[in-house]
Amino acid sequence: MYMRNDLIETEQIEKYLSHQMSGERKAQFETRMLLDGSLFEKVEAQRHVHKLIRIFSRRQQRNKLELIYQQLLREPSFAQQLKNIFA
Amino acid sequence: MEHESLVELYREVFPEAARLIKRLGGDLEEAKDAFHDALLIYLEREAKGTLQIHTSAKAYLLGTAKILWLHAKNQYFDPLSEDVEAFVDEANEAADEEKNIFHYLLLAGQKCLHMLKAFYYDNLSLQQIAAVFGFNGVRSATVQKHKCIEKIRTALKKRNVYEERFN
Repeated sequence: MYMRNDLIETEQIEKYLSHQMSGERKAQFETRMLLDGSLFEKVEAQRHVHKLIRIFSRRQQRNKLELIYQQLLREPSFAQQLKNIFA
Repeated sequence: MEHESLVELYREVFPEAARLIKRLGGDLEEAKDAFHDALLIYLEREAKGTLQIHTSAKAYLLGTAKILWLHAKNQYFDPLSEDVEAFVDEANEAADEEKNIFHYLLLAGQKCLHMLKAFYYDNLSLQQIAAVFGFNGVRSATVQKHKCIEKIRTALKKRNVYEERFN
């Protein structure tokens, strides 16, 4: 499967954000960002995307833990322990 | 971590964590929040390969839950480790700002979101992702991943333009 040019750019931005660029390529990339405002905006937006993915993922994980909690509450010995602690 | 081991760990450690938070002055809800955050940090470090357990998973979780609870009550005065601090900051930020932001993520579709979580959060390899999500090889999974990122990025950029004009 081929990569469109804009996907190659997305991949480059990812390499930049995850510190996977060598010193020279990083310097080149940063120069491009300085000269090209739209590239700079894309980099910032992509940084934001990664943060949102983290927030989404943590929310999923928290939901999963809440389900485990609800499941364990149906076990009498587990529920009784908590009852005793907060009695 | 397998689901069953996670349930086992929860069953074993949570009552102890609840007792600890209760002694410090917290309630059940706070104990649960602190314990869940401690588990998330544990699992994230495990996925990244940065988990270092000196005694036991139990001691690790109790220690982390205690620090998180004290920190939330402004009673913890030592510096937090870097990833824990980033975790706490982002959780606070997420609570205020991100309520409607999921709208942008959902524009990319559920499959995209779960794939991005699998790659960036759960640290699955592209081979595993291709197998789990039914892509025809690593190359195709890579292309899909970048398409997903691009879709969300474009939606966010549009939102920023909108906010600049109307705020």
